[in-house]
Amino acid sequence: MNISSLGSLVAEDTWQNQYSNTGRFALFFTVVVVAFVLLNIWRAEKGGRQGKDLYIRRIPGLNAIDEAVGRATEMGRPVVMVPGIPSNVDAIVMQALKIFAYVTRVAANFGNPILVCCAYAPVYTVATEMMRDVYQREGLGDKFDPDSVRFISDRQFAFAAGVSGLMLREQAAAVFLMGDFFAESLIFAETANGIGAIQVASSTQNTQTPFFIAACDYVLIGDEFYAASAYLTRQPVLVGSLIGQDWCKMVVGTLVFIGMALNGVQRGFLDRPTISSAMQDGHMKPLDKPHPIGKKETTMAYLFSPQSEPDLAGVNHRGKYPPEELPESDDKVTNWK
Amino acid sequence: MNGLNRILADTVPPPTFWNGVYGSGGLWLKIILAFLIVSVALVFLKDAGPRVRKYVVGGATFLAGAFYVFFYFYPTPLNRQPGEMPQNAGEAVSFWLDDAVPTVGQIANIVAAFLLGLGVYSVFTVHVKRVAKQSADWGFSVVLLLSFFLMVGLGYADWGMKRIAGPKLDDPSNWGIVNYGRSFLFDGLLQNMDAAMFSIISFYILSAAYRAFRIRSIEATILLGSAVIMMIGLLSGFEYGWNHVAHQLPTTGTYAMGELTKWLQDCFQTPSLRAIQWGLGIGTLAMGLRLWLSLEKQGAN
Amino acid sequence: MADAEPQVVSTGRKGPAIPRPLLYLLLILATATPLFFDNISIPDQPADPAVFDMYAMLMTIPTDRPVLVSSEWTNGTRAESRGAFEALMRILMHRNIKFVLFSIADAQAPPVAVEVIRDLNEERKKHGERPYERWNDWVDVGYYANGEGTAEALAVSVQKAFSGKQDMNPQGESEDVFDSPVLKGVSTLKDVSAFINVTASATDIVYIQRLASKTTFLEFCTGVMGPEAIPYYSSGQTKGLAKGLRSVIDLETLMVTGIPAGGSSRVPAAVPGILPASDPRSKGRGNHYNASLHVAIVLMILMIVIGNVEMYRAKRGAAS
Repeated sequence: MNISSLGSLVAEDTWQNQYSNTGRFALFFTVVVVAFVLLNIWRAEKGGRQGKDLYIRRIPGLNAIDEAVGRATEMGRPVVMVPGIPSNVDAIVMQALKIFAYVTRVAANFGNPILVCCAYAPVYTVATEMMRDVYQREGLGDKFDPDSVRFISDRQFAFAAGVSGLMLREQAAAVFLMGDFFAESLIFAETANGIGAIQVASSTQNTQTPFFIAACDYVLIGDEFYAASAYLTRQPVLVGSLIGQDWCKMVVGTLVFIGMALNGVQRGFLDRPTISSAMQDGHMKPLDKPHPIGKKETTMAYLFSPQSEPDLAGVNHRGKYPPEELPESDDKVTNWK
Repeated sequence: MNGLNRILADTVPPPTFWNGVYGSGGLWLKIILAFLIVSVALVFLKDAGPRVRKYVVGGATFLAGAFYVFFYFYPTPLNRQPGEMPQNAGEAVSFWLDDAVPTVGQIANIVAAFLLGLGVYSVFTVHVKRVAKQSADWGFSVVLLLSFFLMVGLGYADWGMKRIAGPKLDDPSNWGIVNYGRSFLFDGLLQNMDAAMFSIISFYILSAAYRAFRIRSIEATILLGSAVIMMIGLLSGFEYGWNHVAHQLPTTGTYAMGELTKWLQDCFQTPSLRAIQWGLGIGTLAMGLRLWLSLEKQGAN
Repeated sequence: MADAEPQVVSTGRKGPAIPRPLLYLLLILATATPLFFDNISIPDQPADPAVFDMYAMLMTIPTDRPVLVSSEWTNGTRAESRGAFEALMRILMHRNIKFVLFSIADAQAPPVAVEVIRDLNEERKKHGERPYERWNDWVDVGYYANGEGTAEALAVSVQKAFSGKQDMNPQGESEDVFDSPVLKGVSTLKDVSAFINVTASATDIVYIQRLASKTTFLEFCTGVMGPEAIPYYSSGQTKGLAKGLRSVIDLETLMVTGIPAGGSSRVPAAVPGILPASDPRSKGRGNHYNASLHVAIVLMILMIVIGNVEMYRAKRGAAS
């Protein structure tokens, strides 16, 4: 069903509101991103069948995984993995668990014990199944200890205290911290540092990355976290997806440059030109008083900040009631924008 | 009907596909039907082979994701009023989706609540085994188990008493031993231990700052310099004096502390963070897409 | 390999070095000591436009509609978040604005916020002001585990997101919150005057993505989260932003001095203060912690200097 035929089934004002609210451009860009990713997955699968290997640059933190697990095996100490403190079983925690599945495969083959500390009960159940699956695929199903995957606590600092205590008691030799970390990131990093463990860390919360960089041996910054599974396994689907993501980033970069140039031209490099019409209530309308162009009155601003049309009904829910039936206002509302 | 009743009547949400009037036969029918469907599905899945399970899991994943994808792309209702009827079939779909969002959102809440029980079971098994075997530090496991039962017991008792006694128990002078016990454990112990754990970070920051901020290279020196400027920008007293001097200069406030920190934030910090955020956002979208379409291979191979 | 952290901090002189426990004790004493003195006054000159906008918006949002207050902080971040929440509550209570309290980040958050409201009510009673009554002036709808789903539901319909929630009325009976004077007649975000997020976790992004365009969105976040929140303020998705303890200090100053005409980019008119300088409440939690903040940062800068001196002396020693 295409949009034009759907249009006759949906009221015109509903369509306008939808695309005014979320923006045609936002929807279009989402479709473009999805298309890039799927296209490159197809290309990579086709290339994979033809035996072609696609290049990914070196990521030091991921190269260190084998070294870290090997060191832990030599020292006879466990590997601790923490998938962060998620509030949902989302893409971030799934990615962290996929990386941990790889680490577990290496550890299982070395016969090294693992400890996965979970802060969210659904993550605990998913992690248990994934690690059990890894051991079974390696033919070591009987060696899997269900207590190696633990639910510690869903309270942030109770979790931090529990995991820190675990690291200190078990004297972990390698610590992997990946996923959504918040204030407890520095506690984990410094505790692991204090016991001399190798740490490989990555936080999707940018605010915590500096703490990891200050305290950890290897840090995956930003997108390297998502590149990890492609880097480690070289599955065509993952590598193709990574290339699709790179295409999207190039498009974003191009848009930034175009926006910079366009805004510079429209707003003038020295003096701001005067405009006599601007977007009001979703339509370009002439202004009562022409004024120098503002930063929200450029083409790029209109593209990325669409305006909603005013309510066709003209009133909101509370407006249906006469004023005497509603709580009183004891303040005049200042004219604010 | 007077105005107050009219307001109250209007605030009761009308029955939709996803809910029913409290205590009505329709609601009970929906509950029983849902229970039957899930029970049959569980029995079927239990006896099904791995291949069938794989397709069932993939299908369920796809349906769950498809709802939000469809909701994002489909037009949303314009200024929908309670009790308003859809104008045509397309709008009926958008109303249906609109009504479904809170219900679908609740599904995750309910699943998480049940899975919390599994998590608690995990904690129990680990620590009960430790106590039974008298492993190293088993005394701490005893403390954990005792604290668990005490907190649950006192917490529920306190909650129950507050439901019965009402706002009277907002005043501590009316508290009994149960209320004091719960307050001691929650406000006195848990909250303060939370704050204490957070405060440990300050010591770690001090030692990390001592270790990390060294003039080892040009990049490290720039890092050090910008960090010191940002730290000084937090000091209102220092900034007050600095600005007093800065405003005397011919550059008229350009070198005010607020301007310097704002420049660092706006020109370096924010663009870098946004760039990383873009990469993460696109990566999350791609990962979500692969999970939704079950494109990822299982395991670590 | 991780840098092996020295067990002592050496000043480079011959003689005893500073042991780490002593250093940590110094940190504790230096930051805790100012807290025992109420009369340490450090001058403050607010300059952050985001804080000006925050105060101006809070002082000019309509009072005939409730605000939604999403309180996502617990005692771990009380140094920053409690001061911010207290400032927010003082302004709302001064203006007699009703509010709905809830959380999507932490189940501990609503009780912690309720405790602050209780303390502020005690303070109001001492100053001869009417305490804010639960049910009539504010309601607590509690914690929602699925944050994203709840935010999505709020964007669609406040009534549906909070449907079935009950709170205690003055008679001690549990009733539907939509029967309370706070939420009477409220159906969507158009029926609330603002959505205010006091957060120490990433819930601001969750709300901005889903509902910032549908209402006036204001944010109190911690200092660490500040840089990430700035772009949303610059783009206008967040109408006011207070980040960290420094912003709380600035906000408390503005609550006394007000904002002159043109001081805020969102409100052209002058905005008055709400507390005279002589009122003991004018020195809120932010100002109380300001001296400790100064001491802690000076100590950190001192440690950085000592660390670099040590490194320099070690290099010179190695070279010779």
